[in-house]
Amino acid sequence: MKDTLRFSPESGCLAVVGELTIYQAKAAAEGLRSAFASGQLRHVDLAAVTELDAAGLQWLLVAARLTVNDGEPVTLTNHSEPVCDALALAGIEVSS
Amino acid sequence: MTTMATALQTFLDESRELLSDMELLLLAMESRSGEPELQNALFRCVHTIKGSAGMFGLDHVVDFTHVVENVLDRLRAGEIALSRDLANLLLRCRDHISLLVEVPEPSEAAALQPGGVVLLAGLEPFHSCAGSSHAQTDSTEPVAAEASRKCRIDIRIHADALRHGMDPLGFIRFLGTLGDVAAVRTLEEKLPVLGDMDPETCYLDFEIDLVTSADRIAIENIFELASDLYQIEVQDQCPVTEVDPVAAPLPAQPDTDESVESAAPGAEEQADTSQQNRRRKQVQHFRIQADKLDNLINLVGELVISSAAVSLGAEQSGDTPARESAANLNLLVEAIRDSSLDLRMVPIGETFQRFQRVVRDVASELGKDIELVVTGADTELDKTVVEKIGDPLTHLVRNACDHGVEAPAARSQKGKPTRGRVHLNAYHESGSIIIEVSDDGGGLSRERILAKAMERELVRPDAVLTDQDVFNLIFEPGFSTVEQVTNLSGRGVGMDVVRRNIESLRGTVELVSPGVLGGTTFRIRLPLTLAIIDGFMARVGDATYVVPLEMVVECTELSAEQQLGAEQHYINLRQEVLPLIRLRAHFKLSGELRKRQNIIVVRHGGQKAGLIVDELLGENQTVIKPLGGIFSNLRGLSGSTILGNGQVALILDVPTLIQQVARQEDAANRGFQSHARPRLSAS
Amino acid sequence: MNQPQTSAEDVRIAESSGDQNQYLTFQIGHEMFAVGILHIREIIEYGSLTTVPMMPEFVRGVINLRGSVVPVIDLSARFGRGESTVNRRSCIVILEVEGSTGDEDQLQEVGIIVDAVSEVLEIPPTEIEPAPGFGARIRADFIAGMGKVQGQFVILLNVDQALNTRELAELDSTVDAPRDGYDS
Repeated sequence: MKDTLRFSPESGCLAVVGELTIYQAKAAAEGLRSAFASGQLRHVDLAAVTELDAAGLQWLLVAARLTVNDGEPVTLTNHSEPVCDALALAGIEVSS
Repeated sequence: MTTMATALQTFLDESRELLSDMELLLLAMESRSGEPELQNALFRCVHTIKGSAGMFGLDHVVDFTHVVENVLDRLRAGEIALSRDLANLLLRCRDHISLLVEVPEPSEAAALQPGGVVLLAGLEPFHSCAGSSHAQTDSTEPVAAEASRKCRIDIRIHADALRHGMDPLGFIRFLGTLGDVAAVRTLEEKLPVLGDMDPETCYLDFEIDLVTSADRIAIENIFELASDLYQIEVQDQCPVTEVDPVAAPLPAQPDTDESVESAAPGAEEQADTSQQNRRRKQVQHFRIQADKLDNLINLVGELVISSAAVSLGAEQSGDTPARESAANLNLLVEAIRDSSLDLRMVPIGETFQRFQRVVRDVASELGKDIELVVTGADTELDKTVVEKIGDPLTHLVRNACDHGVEAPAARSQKGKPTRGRVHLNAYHESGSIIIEVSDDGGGLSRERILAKAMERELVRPDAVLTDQDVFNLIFEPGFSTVEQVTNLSGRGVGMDVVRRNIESLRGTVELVSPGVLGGTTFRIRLPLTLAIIDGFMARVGDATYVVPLEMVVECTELSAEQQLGAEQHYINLRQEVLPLIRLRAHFKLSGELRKRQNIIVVRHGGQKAGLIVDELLGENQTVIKPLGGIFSNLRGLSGSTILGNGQVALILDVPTLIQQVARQEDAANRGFQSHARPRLSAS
Repeated sequence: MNQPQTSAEDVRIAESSGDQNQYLTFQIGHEMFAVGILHIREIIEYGSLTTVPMMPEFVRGVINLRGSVVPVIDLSARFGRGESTVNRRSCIVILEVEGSTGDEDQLQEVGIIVDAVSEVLEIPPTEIEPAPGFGARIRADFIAGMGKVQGQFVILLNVDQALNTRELAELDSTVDAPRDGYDS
């Protein structure tokens, strides 16, 4: 299986690729932790997310709460359509 | 198994249960069609299956059940009545649904399509004559309540929900099919920080505003599949239409099952009944995977064996404290064994109820009117036995309908009520379960059976037989009754198979006539469990053999003057001729014959025989290990068991041994007509 | 207590996926045989057999293997070379073969009597030749191939075939054939 997450420390961008569901939840949480631990994480790119379930939703909500350095929040960007659908289903507005 | 597969399995299990309920309800409604409680229950069965199937995107199930549900809805609304034709049709629809839910892939359902189309066409008059009030294409079917209202649904989700494949977003999406999801609030209060997060635990809860015409039950039913993981509270916020006063302000209930119990509009007494149901439901159940239970019982089996070994060791050591501890241990192990076997005990009622349908179908096939009466439904026996008793019972029940109960004309001629009766009864008796299949037909004719048996050379003309012996002849292979000797003569067909099936469960079957209801009664005796056997141990050659204790009549050591010559095939035991089975010779074991020989007198199916063994070792309770694989064709041994000393002992299949010896004897009789030997003595 | 599984010679062989070329070699009569170690559950000391009557002579009996009743086959007799005589180095090798009787379509444990267990060898596929059509004096379908080990041939057994449960079960219908010398 391909990696769900790709992190480039230079740009501080964590890209999620493919499904983000209960099946990837463990790996995704690990990836998020290590990206966050590097101190370089700035935003999460959701352009390539093909499926999002409640486990993925939780992941997003947790990621969105993260702050780096001086309290600057990690931003979620480029919501793909499946992401938007899932968020709409959960009644969460996309602010971007 | 993936979480999705687990969830799907739950759906399958639940659907099977609901379908079996549905069958019973339909059968019950034939005599009590007016009862709203039954009608509602029937509706809920189909509604729940439809809802759960929708969760999994099983459109082939949803499409079909939708129509059935619609008809049932009209039935409970009193718009249509349950005729016999409709009952037949609904039963067939039930069968069709059960085929549909077993189909793993929607694409494979195409094969079932033709059958479904026929049934749907049959349902047409029942769901379309209401005119235009129910739009068929509308999948947000109106349930009970007519107009829309807004309700608030609080969803509290168990931490394990995601692990079990119960994704809340899926449920929310499905709620959308019931109406308009006006608002969703995701409650994130429980969501931890990244460091503390277990990514597979569900931290979210939801609040949903739904504008719908569906009633509360319909909403709750959507979550029925996950009732142990989802706690649902539905509150009508602005009820627009008449809503059941019982149903409206429902306090939070931990168990959705219970709230579903509270039923439809009106009727005070109904509410009472559901109250009673609730009280009865206080006994809590939970589902266990069958193989986990089997595994536990296997382990307990090992424990029993090890404990026997410990006792043996303690006994040999002569150390008193050790012996006492071992005795204590033994008592505990026995208690554990009994309780764990008890876990696998199920009431036979469920199996019995299946026969309502069999009797109904067979009776209408035969143009008879037959009622099935069931008693002793609470009698429990091992699940593994229940699973295997279905076939022989079906045969006996069909047989009772076909050959036991007379045709209506013949019955009225005899002054009997035209409606015949078949009775299924079960009870416990000294460590066994007895199952009786009785009919109120004309019973058996001794003369005709005997004549038939002589014609088939199953008995010799000069044989002296009791009624019992004669009746049991119908279980003989070859007692075929192809010609119609009497209206009862067909009874012989396949009865040897029935007996063999029952014997393979270490059971016996006998026939009594006149039976409990005046006609014929088949009485099946089965062990409560197949896992453990009370046995009598004996040694032949190097090996230990176990004889099932229920077949042992007595054991004797032969005195010096009674010692047998090698060619002697019978002894006179208290004025009774007892045929002998020399195990050593029969099993073709070599080695010296013991000077003193011992006999175990065994009985099976009215026949006695003496097993000659080298040494009697006494009673023992042992765990049965099947001798599978390469021993599957071996006759005369039914299994094995492990003794306290670790050695394997073999369990003798007494019925087969007696049969084999009887057959050899018959062959000998034909060969040497002059040496008339007595047949196996009948007890 | 004389349980076979408590034997000191008890050799347990771990399963791992990289073992495809590994074979356990052993001796039956004067010949060397080999079985892929993925088939092998364990090796135990010979003993504590219970004879099952009315079975062909190659079924030596059953043993208690930690609570399971496992049949033990005498391959020498199965190959038609007469019963093997038990010696000090005789062992029972417990194999896993495909069960094919009735509905038990799973792996079944079967023991075979061997005169001596030699060693676990690596035999690469390049060192394996197809079974000869004749000359091995063993049914061709029992042989998976001939392995070359230090210039000598060992017979690689096709255990699923040689210990095919269905075939063995059918052979046991020879219950009428008298057999002698069964008890000791």
